[in-house]
Amino acid sequence: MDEAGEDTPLLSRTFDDRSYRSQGSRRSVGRDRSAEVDVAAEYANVSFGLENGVSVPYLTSAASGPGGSAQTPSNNGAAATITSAVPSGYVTGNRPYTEDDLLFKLKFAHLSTGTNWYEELASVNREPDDLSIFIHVLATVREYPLSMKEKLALYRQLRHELAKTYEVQIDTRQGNQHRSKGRGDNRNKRKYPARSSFSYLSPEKMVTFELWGSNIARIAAYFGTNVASFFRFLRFLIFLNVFLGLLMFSFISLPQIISGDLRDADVRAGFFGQFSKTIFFFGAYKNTTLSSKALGITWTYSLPLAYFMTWAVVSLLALVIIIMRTDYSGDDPYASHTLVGWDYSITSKQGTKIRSKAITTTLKEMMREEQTRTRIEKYNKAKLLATRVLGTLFHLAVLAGSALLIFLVAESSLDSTTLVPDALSDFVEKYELSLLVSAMKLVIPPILSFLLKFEHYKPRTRVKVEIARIACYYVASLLGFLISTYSVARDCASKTDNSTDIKDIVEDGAPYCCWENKVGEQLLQLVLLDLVVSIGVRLGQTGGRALLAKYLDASKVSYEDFPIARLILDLVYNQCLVWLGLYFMPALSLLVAVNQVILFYFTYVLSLTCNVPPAKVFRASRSGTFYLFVLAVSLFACFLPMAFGVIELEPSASCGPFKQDIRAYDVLVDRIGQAPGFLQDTVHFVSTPGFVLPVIMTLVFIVLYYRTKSGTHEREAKDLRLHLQFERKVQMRRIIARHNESKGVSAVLVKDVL
Amino acid sequence: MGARSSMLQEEEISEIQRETGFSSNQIVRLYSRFTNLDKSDQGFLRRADFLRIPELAINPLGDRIVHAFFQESATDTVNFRQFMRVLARFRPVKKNVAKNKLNDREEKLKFAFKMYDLDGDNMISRDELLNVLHMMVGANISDEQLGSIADRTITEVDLDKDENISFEEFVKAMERVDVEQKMSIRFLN
Repeated sequence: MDEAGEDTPLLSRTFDDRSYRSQGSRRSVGRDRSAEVDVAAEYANVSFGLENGVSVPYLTSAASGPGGSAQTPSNNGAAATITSAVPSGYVTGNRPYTEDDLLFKLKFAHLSTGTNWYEELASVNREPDDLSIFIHVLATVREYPLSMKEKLALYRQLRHELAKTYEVQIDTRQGNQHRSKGRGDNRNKRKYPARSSFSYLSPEKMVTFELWGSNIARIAAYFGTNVASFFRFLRFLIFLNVFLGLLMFSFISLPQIISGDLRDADVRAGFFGQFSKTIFFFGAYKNTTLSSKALGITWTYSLPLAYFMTWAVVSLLALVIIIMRTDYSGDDPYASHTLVGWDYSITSKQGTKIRSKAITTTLKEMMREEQTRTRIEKYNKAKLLATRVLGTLFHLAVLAGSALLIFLVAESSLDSTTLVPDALSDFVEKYELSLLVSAMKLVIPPILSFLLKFEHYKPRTRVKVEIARIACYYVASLLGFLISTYSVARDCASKTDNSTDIKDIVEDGAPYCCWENKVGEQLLQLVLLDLVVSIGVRLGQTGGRALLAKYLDASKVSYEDFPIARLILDLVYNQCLVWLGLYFMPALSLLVAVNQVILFYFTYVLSLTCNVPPAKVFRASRSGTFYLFVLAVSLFACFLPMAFGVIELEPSASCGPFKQDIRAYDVLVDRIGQAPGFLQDTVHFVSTPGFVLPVIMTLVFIVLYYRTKSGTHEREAKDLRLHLQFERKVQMRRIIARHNESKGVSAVLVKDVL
Repeated sequence: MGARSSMLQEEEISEIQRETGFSSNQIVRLYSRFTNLDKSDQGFLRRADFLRIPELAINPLGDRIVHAFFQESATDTVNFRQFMRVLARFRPVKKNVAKNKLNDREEKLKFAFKMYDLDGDNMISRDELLNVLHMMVGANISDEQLGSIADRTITEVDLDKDENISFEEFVKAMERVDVEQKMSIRFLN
């Protein structure tokens, strides 16, 4: 903690620490800052001597300025003693001179000039080979009121001494500045090493053979496992996206590339100009069957079928992977915090302090929750219910309203020249829908979370409700976006022949229509804009707050907590964009993976410089599960309209692999139609109600079965518990009986057996 | 360094290998770390040697970890064999069950249990829990509140209602925790 008692981010601080030993002495812990003046006064009365008789200049009344003027009566009428000569040698009484005394003295080093501090440190009363005071002073040397020369000398001597025992690692990289700026000693930045860390095993680090393992370990050391789990989640998503992207690429794009066509001449240039014509987008894929001769056999590869099947398989695979990663574990709250509450991956002193505080806060909150439970009963229950219902209705209204707004804007292009200067109007016109969605994404979630306050949920429930609502909002806005692009795009499909627009006419008289490309382009715009906006906003908000906190002296503005919930929601949003867009733009997941890599490094650097760990502890497993659950549900919610769109809507007639088909899945049906008879019959049978209904019923039965089974298990556990108790009682009785029989057996035996 | 490493004989290495499952490279490496810690060059470690490790020193529960090390040796010194035996519990769990000598789930949980069990009577009493809570939380929560937190913890975990947490109850409480993954360190090979 710095002087204001606040948390500060890792890279702008020194190692501070008033109680460097885990069992800090009561004296130094008990002091608080308001008593500093009294402390100075106390010092004024005391002079420290060393055991070997080397004396220290004691105070003169002039030097004891701050202490003298603040004499309080509580100092045992010490006002008189201030100016009296204090004899050298021990005035600390019978108590031997300890390290705490020395540190205390160091704190007022300006009052005892001319001391050789290194000698004092070396000869203080401590266990031999116990170098912890050296380490402590070395880490905090900048805080003591010594002259630069003295500090440097002390620093060098301590380091030299410590280097004999430890392997001292000096980190002079610029980015590892530990000092906070604005403290006035910036000019000496280059002369001092930026950071000294004692790495006991300096050449070897904790090796993990995972990508970014060292980065995540560093985050964990300071922020704890929770925040580290966010980065692990991000890494998982990156891998997932790359995996899916590679699948799509190898089954869809690669054959097309091999056959030589990178773009389709039929496709017109869209929003992205020539880029829209390439295989990145849906439109460029041929609807032909590629064939090649190799090894004497003609290999055929039906691109349309491959496209459809790959997309379907990839989407389902993603869903399965995410669901399988969740592990649902309920637990006992108190036991979890007490027995497994500590996070051993934290290896920085600050991190441990912050973690300790976080555990404290959580425990206190749990205790408070129990009390407020009764308090809420006192609230008018009906009123509370009414507010909550109102809140939920309002939320739904907001969802519907935003979806509608998106739809309207998509339908009618705004005449933007009135609102926006000409230079930007072109950009705005192209990107209007995406801009709208991004702007709403920025504005509405804070409003929603603000309004949530009035519904008086318990803190933990409140976080969950907040996350769920914002996720719903994201999904709703994305769906609105999707549906509106669908409808706009479909307009082209239903254009009649008497369209006078020459551009629209293609050879056989049917108007040019490539709506999938348009949808893909819109989604790409959204992805790019989302990246830019989120980086910009985070820089502004987090970075701005950090700057303010540094220069405005931190008491009014504090550093931002690491916003786990918000960031995870952003990730969910990104992933939803991927699910939605994969059909229209096969390379989207690779692009989003690149985005996420950029985001990883950006968040990493930003959080180390501008964030402090969150003040509350959410147990990593539990919140991780919840986020994965939210992700799975959003994925499902996005997948359904997607599937609907793909299956129900007509593919465009002038581009894409489904040019000739009326329905995209016709390719699949045709393929099955070519399959042997019994396979066709099976498939037909599977799709009839006669099959589906029994399957559903069986599934329901299975679910009920497992539920009852778990219920029985609970009862069994209870029975076992009672049985155990009974056994213990019987055993006790037996032992007591035996003990009574043969007196003279010591009571210790009874205790041992128990 | 050269003189020291010759003190570790081949037979010792293979014995330790058999007992703990570490590879000989890992054993040699860990031996060099052991000797690094052993400043007084006596062939065994004391509590102060462990607490000299910065990461342990700053951990409020660092003392408890060291205590669990010393439970293995039942004296106040730890020689290399005992050192390795304790570290063996942190090896990742292998799929081939025969290779798991000391690092199965029960041993790992036993280590964690010993951290809390101060007097070694195979029970975590309310006072021992209070002790640990004190360490984690510092002076920020009042003693009565800490007492009630400890009571609640015991109530949640204690199955046979004897106001203590036995090892079996501890195991049951941890059944949902992924101990095999969380209490494993990938030692350098």
